[in-house]
Amino acid sequence: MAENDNLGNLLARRGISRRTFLKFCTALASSMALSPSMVPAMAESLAKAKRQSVIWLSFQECTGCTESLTRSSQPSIESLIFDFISLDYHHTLQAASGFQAEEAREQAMAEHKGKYLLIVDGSIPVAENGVYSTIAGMTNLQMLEDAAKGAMAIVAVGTCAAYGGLPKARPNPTGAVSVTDLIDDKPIINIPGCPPIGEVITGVLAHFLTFGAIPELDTVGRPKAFYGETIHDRCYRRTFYDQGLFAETFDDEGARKGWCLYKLGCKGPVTYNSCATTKWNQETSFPIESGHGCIGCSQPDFWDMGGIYEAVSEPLTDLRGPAVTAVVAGAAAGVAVAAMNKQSKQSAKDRHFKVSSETLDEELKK
Amino acid sequence: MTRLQDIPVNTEITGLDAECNMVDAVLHELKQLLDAYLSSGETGVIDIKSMPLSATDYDSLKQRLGNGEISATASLAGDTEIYETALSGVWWVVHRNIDDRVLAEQLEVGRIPAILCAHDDDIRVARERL
Repeated sequence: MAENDNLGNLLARRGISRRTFLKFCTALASSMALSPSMVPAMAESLAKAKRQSVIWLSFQECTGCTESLTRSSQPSIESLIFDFISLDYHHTLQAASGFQAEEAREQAMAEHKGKYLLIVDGSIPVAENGVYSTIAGMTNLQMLEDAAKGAMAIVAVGTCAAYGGLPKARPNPTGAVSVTDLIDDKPIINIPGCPPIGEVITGVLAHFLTFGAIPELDTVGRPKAFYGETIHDRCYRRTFYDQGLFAETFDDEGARKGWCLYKLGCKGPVTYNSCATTKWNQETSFPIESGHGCIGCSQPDFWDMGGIYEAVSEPLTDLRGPAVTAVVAGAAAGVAVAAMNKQSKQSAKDRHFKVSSETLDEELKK
Repeated sequence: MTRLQDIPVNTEITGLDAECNMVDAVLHELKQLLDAYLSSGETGVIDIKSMPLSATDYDSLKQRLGNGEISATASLAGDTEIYETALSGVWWVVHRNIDDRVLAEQLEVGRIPAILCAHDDDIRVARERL
């Protein structure tokens, strides 16, 4: 595809009518919570969009974010956008390996200096000068700093890149940090989630291609279009919360009747994401619809927010609050021990043993 | 392989999953969109898919809007079903992909839904082909 080609031409070549494209844009606008009245203008603008060079760097991560994006159903606006961008470097997806792969990255950085979009998934370890994760002999830290210099904007995909995620969970042995902790002179969009919803990743790319600018962000760098409301606000079980009807255990009457999972530790009230409307697995369901509370994976430091099955009593994102004592005790044992009682927490700390899932089950039964 | 949506899931009907005033809210918005169309010709759309409608809400909305005189299916990388509700000028539009998954579902207010209109670019291509 030629450098100056646009998406409209790509559509025409593939025999996709503008009517079909309008349909895709309608779906996209719906997922982006854009006003439906904007769809025709959006379709016109997106059809004129030029091919965008993208460099994708994967650091301390599990590849779940890439899986989420590439496994979205076909054909869709996601696959269309994904085909349209020029993915110049992505070490999991590209055919090249070794020196050739690194050369491709350096070439793209030089050719599209100041114009490429840098996507990062995974956190960046900075302890011991970043030696905990290296690619082709370069630390993640060096690679990010190098690539960020010529980037037009950076998209931090997944909670690890956005906020440090699991690698940053206490005691954070590798000194993992987020992209925003290291780069402060470029526009950065955070798309957190463990993993983020594929449609959300491509939705942000589509927004970038359509409007040529980054979308409106919230206080922790997330696009408001997708992270503007809590899971709780958009939850179909919200009506049970309002009526005071809660499941108390996972097999009681309330659980069978689909009542609110708040008392079972659902973090929906403090979690901003669009799972409740966009859903997962070809829109089959989302965690709450499958009977489990939200674990808050799109929130900063969600892994240290306390027990997954502890009811939320206050916003938990600020670890400097009262929750910090429990979390520090957990860190000493190397595991999340928030579900344990005070005595066993102290015991774990003293003996420095690892707590098994059986132990946690027993604690939960108490 | 059995797909996830093929596995039957039965939920207990409790009567508590009743309308939570969403249907009235949608009808009220439709009234405003019809007013806008009649006074200025401005068309309007309500995005049903992004609303947290319960199954009861959804069925109730369908029932209250009813079926009108026209229905159409467009094959656009998956079917798009369009029908006019019993309220003239209020159209129910469901966009599906080839897996039959609902991509978008809307209520559109106007003379004809935008998706039925041919685009100038496509008309130009048609002319070239003759």
